[in-house]
Amino acid sequence: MTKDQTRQQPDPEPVDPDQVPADELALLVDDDHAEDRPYAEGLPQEDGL
Amino acid sequence: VSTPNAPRTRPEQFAFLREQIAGPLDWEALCLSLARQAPGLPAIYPSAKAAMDATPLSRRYPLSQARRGMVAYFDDPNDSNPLAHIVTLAGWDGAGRTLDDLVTVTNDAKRRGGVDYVRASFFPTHWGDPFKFATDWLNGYDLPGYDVDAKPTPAPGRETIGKNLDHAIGDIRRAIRNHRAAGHRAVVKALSADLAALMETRKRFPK
Repeated sequence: MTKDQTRQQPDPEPVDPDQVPADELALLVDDDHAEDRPYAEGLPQEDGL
Repeated sequence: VSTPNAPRTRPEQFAFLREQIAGPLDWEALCLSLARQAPGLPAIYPSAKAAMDATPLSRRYPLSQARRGMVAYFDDPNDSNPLAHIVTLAGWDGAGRTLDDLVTVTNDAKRRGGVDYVRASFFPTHWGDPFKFATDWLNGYDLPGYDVDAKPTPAPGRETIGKNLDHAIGDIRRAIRNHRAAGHRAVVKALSADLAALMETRKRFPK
């Protein structure tokens, strides 16, 4: 990768610290594209030590 | 006791999460594990509910003060999941400040065991769990700061893991008393299981 190509890579952190970076926003899955989620309720949210 | 900083920076926190999004579906029912491993925190509280109840009041922020890198909790103490849900906040999408404008990184929302970016409105809409609060505190650590690109400055915490666990056990006992008084029977049962698990863990640490 050349130095110029490196400069073209997206910055992983946004300039505005409150905003979602554009490359992450592109991964957002909106509800109208989601599958049904019958498993969503009742899941234990455990964290094994 | 001062609150130690998370070992990872915010870019490292999100690099970890992006790896999980692209990775195998290994995160079913492991919301707290995902949220605390991203900034490199050790396991302390056994469930998101226990971690939520242990969060200092002074570190709980309303929706309008949510920031990228914080975590947030969604919970209805009377629904079928008494253990609550924790997500990492990816930030705001635009200038609005509603749950629809806030983007989270979560497990189990779009794919069982998968990690995805979803809007914060997903949880009240599809799981019936309202937003409780955002926080920059988790498992006794400060989460990575918002403009921190350098390694966080180390700060002293408690002397031993055992002392951290003792503190967590006290937090859960207080939470059980509060939920018992509020009539949250399912939460009391779930946190009692958390307490038993944590006391077993405590036995492994002599100090």
